Formats: sequence, structure tokens, C-alpha cells
Amino acid sequence: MNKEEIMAGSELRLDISLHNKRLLDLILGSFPSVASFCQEKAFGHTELGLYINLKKSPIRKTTGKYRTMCQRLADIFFVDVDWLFPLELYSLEKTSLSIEMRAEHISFHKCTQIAVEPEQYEVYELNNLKEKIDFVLSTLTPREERIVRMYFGIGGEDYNKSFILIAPEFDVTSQRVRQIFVKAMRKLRHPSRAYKLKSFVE
Amino acid sequence: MEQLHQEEVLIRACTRNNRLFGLMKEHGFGGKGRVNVAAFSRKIGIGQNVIGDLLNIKIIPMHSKNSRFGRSGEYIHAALKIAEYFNVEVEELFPIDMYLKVKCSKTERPATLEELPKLISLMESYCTEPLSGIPIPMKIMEGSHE
Repeated sequence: MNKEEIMAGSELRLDISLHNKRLLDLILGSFPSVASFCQEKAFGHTELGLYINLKKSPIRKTTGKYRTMCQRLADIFFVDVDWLFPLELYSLEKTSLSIEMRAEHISFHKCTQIAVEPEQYEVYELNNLKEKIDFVLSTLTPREERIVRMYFGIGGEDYNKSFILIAPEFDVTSQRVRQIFVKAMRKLRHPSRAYKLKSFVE
Repeated sequence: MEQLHQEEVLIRACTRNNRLFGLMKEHGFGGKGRVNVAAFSRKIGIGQNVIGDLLNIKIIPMHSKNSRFGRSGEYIHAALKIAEYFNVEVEELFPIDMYLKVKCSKTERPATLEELPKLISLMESYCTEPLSGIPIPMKIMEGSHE
């Protein structure tokens, strides 16, 4: 294709790829990124990427058994290897494809919400947000977590309480509650925790 | 935990500037289905991140109102330099309407193995005739309702 044809063609390209959601969720549920997981658990980043992107079969052809790396991954997350690497998923012929499209075909707000029913997308987003908030709060100390939950009324705590109302529950002064709250918020703002929630703010 | 993760597949869709993608491939910066931003960056002397952002439609290639580097409404230096390198009009290579329309360049959707073959065949059928009138994402959404 020459330059003129390219410039006369479609402006947009939609690259769609399939990934192993279970593996990705388990990794990103406990580590900030796939790279940090690989570093900590001594896995090859490229090879793990092949399993996540469904490019390599988890079954060894010669023996018909799961590869050692897949078995190790399942052991790390205490799950069944058959569940983590469903064979039907790895037997797909095509795991990525590209669609060319014109800019005028972007007719709705988020053009790339492909294959997503709007309500379903919102529910997924909300569930995801709740899971992530719970995860981020669980990284604080129990007292900090409870104070933040009580102050903002998150999950279970029925209403937003002031520092004065929270203080008697911990047998400290309201000023001390404020100090703990401020420290917790400072921890939550740290990039290692904030990155998980940042996408929901944007 | 197994009940929490019912879906096996994550479908990820990324939008890209097809013209920039095509020109980079044509000039030898990349192979089948991908481009080599690092090599292109070294060739023209612009940061990889800016090229990546322009390619993946993550930034608008124009100076904003409060920009310190240029007047509002002017194309950014990187966009001008890329267009100059390929010897094309910057407005054609980086259509501003498209950049303004794409609010979110990357999205994900979980799916189960049962619904996957239907979704894949739908997407593949649009690859053969992608410009048949109705927006492609809309068609795929229709399919997922069935």
C-alpha cells in the first residue's frame, strides 16, 4: 500500500485482543503490575506474556501435561491449574484482530466500548471499583481502615461519622482520630495504592 | 475465589491512528500487525512516549489554551515533525476531529467462553467489510444482545 492509499484510507484502527482474564486478575489483584510480579516470583516476563495473551499452549505436546510454569502459577495463587488455564481458551485459532474504521463512525461517547452493553459496562465498573477500594483499604492498618470506612461510610458502616463520634469507639480523643485519618489518607495517596483507583477518577 | 472470576476471557480493544500506523509500516518501522516506535523515535528524534501517545490517540496533538510551548490551536511540535518526515499534511495525518471524538482509547470487557465464538465471528465479519455504513462497535453491540 503506498502513501496516497494510506492517507485516503481509514483514520482509525481498532486492535482487539483476547487475554486470560483469570490469570490477569489474580496477578493484578496482588501486585501493582505484571512486571513486578515477574520480578518478585522470578518468572520470565516474555513467557508469562505469552500465557496471558493466549499465544502459547499451557500443555506440553510430548507429555500432554501442564507445563511447569503453569503449574507453579496455579500453586502460587492456590487455584486449580485446569481452572486457571482453560484449554478451550488456548485452542482458539485467532486471539487478535484489527478493524479499520472511519472517524465518522465514532458515534457515541466512548467509541471503543466495543461489544459492551452500556448497563453491563457500568455494573462491571462498579463491581470493579468496590473490589479495588476493598483491596486498597485492606493494605492499611485495621484501625486506619476502620476509621476511613466510618468517616466516609464505606461498605457496612451505615453513615458518615465525624471524628468526635468515632473517637469513643477507639477510646482516643477526636484529635487523635484526625491524626490517624490524615496518616491513612496520606498512605492512600501514595502512588503504590493510588494507581489502582486513579482510572476511576479520570 | 473461583466464583468471583466466572469469565475466562478479557477482550481488550485499543484505538490507533491508522494513517500513522500505515505510514510507519510502509517506511519499514515494524512488521506484521505491529510497529516499532523505538526505531521510529530514534530516526526522527522525538520521544517514544509522545509518538506512542499520538499513535494510540491518548493526547490531542494541539496546544491547549494554557500551553507554554505554543499558541492555542496550533499543532504540537512532535506532530509537525512526524508529518514533515512522511511528507504529508499534518491535518490529514492527525485529523483533530478524530482525536477529539475518541474520549477513551482503550477499553476492556470480560466475556465467557460460551459467548466468545459468537463475538469473534461477528468481529471477523466486519473485518471483510468494515465500512458498510453502520458503526462497527454498534454492530457488535447488537450482536451481543442476541
